[in-house]
Amino acid sequence: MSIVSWYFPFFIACFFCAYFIVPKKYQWYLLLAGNLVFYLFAGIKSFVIALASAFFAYLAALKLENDRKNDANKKGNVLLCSAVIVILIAWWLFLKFMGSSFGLVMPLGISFYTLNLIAYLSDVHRLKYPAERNPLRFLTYILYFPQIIQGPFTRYPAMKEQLFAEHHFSYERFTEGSLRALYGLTIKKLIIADSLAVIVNRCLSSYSTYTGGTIFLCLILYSIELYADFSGYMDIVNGVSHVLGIEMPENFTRPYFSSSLEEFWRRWHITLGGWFREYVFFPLSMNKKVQKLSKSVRKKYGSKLGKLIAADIALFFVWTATGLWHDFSWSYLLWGYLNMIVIMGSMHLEDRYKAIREKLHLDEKNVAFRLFRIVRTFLLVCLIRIPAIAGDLKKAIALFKQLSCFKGEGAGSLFSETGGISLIILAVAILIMFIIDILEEKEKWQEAKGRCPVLVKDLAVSLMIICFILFVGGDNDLLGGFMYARF
Amino acid sequence: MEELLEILNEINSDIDYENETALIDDGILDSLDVVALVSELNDHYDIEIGLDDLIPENFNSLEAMLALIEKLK
Amino acid sequence: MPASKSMMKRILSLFMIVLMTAVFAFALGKALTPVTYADFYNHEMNLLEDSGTEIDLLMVGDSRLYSSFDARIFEEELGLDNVVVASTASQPICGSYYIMKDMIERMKPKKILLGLDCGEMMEEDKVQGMMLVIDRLSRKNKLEMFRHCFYGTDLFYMLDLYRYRNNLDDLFDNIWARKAMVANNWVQEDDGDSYYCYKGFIYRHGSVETGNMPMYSHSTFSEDSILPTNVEYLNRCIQLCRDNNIELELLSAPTTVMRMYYVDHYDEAVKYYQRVADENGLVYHNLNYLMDRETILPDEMMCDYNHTNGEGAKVVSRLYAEILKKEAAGEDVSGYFYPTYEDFLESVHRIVATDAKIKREGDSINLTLRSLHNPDVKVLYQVETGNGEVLIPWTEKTEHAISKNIEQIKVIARSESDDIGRAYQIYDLKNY
Repeated sequence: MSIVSWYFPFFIACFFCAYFIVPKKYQWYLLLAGNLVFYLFAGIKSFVIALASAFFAYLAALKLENDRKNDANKKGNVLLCSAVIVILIAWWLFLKFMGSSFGLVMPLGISFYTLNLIAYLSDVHRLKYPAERNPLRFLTYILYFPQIIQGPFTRYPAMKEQLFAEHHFSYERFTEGSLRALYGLTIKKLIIADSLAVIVNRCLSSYSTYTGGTIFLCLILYSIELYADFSGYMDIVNGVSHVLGIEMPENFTRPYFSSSLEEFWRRWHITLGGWFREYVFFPLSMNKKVQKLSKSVRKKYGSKLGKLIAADIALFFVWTATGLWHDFSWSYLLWGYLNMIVIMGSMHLEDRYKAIREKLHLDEKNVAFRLFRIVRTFLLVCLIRIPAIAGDLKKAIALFKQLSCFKGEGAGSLFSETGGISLIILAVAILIMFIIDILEEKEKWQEAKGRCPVLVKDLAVSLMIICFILFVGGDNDLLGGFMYARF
Repeated sequence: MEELLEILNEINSDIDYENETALIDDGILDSLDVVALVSELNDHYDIEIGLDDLIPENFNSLEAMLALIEKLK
Repeated sequence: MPASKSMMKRILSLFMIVLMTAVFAFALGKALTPVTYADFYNHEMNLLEDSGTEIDLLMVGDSRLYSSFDARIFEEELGLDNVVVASTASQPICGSYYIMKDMIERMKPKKILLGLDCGEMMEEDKVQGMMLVIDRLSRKNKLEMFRHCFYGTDLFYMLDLYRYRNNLDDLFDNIWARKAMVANNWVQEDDGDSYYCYKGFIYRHGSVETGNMPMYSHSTFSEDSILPTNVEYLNRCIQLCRDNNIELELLSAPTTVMRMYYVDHYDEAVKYYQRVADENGLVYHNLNYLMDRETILPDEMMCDYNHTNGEGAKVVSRLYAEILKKEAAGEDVSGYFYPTYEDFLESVHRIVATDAKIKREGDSINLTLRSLHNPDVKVLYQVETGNGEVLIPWTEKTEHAISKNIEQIKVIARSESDDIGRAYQIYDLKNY
């Protein structure tokens, strides 16, 4: 179901009512029904694949746990690997059959629920928690509708506690959750992300006619668009779940205020980073063979390299997988490796950076220096995104070259086809998002919300509803036009 | 204790290891720091810290780390 | 805080949200509503209605009617007091029904002319077309049409804010235009393109050079594709007139000769309506079959591929008024029309239109040339650059590939013996 259509508010309204009216012990059955209805809108093919994957994982987990308990350790490992491989192959096969890895064609949310399934299997195999015996409960978790399309990634124990608990209606949770969801939907997604998308796409479709400066501005706008789109969706997810009494992990904590690229990846798509850390980075870097290698490197090349080599190896695999997870293409792989190079670079050159800082008498706590690092990180993130935004390597290189071009249309032409009033609304929306993010960063947002008079909140809700009517599309395509939904 | 502090300070000298009790939970030590630390500890104390030992409880404070090292020795 | 007090606060809060949303939606919706022909039309109709005037002749149909029928000329020629052209762009047949019903209730027309097009019976109703009709109905009929013709998310168009949300950037222009309209006493100024003239007649500027008509709006008429709901509404129209003792006449308003060739089985559409008329004892005229139309209504009197301009309206209105007068006197008017499609075709001595399908493929541009002409004509094509340099000399072949560096081409079509009018089309290739 498209979040940015008229269907979703109606679905949600009906669901909320039903959820809190139905006898508490049937609440999760209703949730399961809601999940199925929601996902069925994506088409029967997607539905069957998701159902099959979930059921397969459910059975595989039970077997894994059984084997592990009977101490058939090796067999368990093989089974785990096979299960993972089967899931990945199913994914890959679907890609092949549909002929393209872009857009409408992917089963909705496959990249998200597949990783959740792999995490579950891995955890059960390591006996972190018992496998779920009730298939319906497991299905409720995997198809949980707020998280099915774009995440966030979760772990079964935390979700299980909440999904199957009894939830009572709370007016505070309802207002808080709805406010957040409305904000994400209208201000961030409909106004900021969708308006910027038009401008950015126009620039990118004929990038050779613009100056380098305009292209760079376009990259900045794209970064704002991507943030508004994805974090807006997370606001809807978290807001809706909050009303139901289910707390989801945050996926964004003001990433563009990061001082370094490593920090950025702890603030952007947090649960994805967490997933790769837990299931790729640590398993690889802590692997006995890798640790042995680390020891021998230490002996040969010194303790510094020895310390870092395990991380280097693991990082390589993490970024390969991250790039490919976003898209099965060379350009996203390049994007992944660019991130990796910068992060590895700062790891290995840490001492040099420290020395330079001390020479220049730059204190890390200095406000101006911190601001410099924030801006630098933001610009770096924008630049690294070039291959991601280009779609293929050839275009990526061409785009990069275009950055140094002085001839062409200036920034003004980017906005020439957007009306005056629309631009003002866009600017105001971006300003609002910025101010709220700053308040959140300084941890003053909750206080500000609390002190806000009810009438002002009511006005905000009214205006956001008006914005929804003004900016919502007709019957959108199933992916609802959210950028990460094609993954 | 002294040796451990030295190793920790080599990884990141801006942290007050003696008083912090949520080094992992609060994200004060990030994953790269942890891997570097594990590598150092493995080498220095001649132990084998495994993936299953990599839980926040074992690395949140100086005492926790010492306990882990003792356990694995 | 006692439970009841906090409950009251919450209810108040929700109430405020609903109230504020309603107020904003209403105000913004009004501000976003653009000035359209409906504003002028409704103002005029309300004045007539208030003065108790009844309609002598009512014309109901789509944009071809309001482009071609000058109400003043009909009033003059037929000696009538009140002739009204109640038609809207892309008006669906259900819309025609409601307009008829509405006018019958308000101003009791004595005779109604219902315009029918070759494509109408097969088309599913588009919301935009229906909304234009809604704008002109009384409140009671508005609600009735909403109930019967709108489904699902179409109903959101009832909200002006949603309907006009794409006009956001024109907000201030709209407000200003509305003020100007009132200040000008609901007389629309001629902006050089078109303007609301009188009782639903729209004067349109623009003209197409004979031979340069673009090939737009291809469609196929087939009785199997006729939608039952459309037939039902047509029957309802006929029944409505019968029940109210109103004389009904069916017609097809003028379109370009190009469309008469470009719509597949055009003649079958004409035969279909003739049959409907015969079965119901009604008169049907296809104004496209007007005798000598090539001479009296050339492409220069068309403002685009489908409508007459102001000059063409004069010609058509005079002629049709004459036909109606003779009919009323009981005279035979069949001499005004070509009896069959073939007779009409015989009067055409030119290549009606030509065009090229353009597609960029790698290093070259592919052209597929085609033209509209009589079946006995053999066509030759020539492609020149914008400067007159010949790229492809006269040939029967229709598939060609040219260099991607060419900026502008002119496609010309002539008959083998070059004894009939040519057709041509110019393309700016950088648009493809």
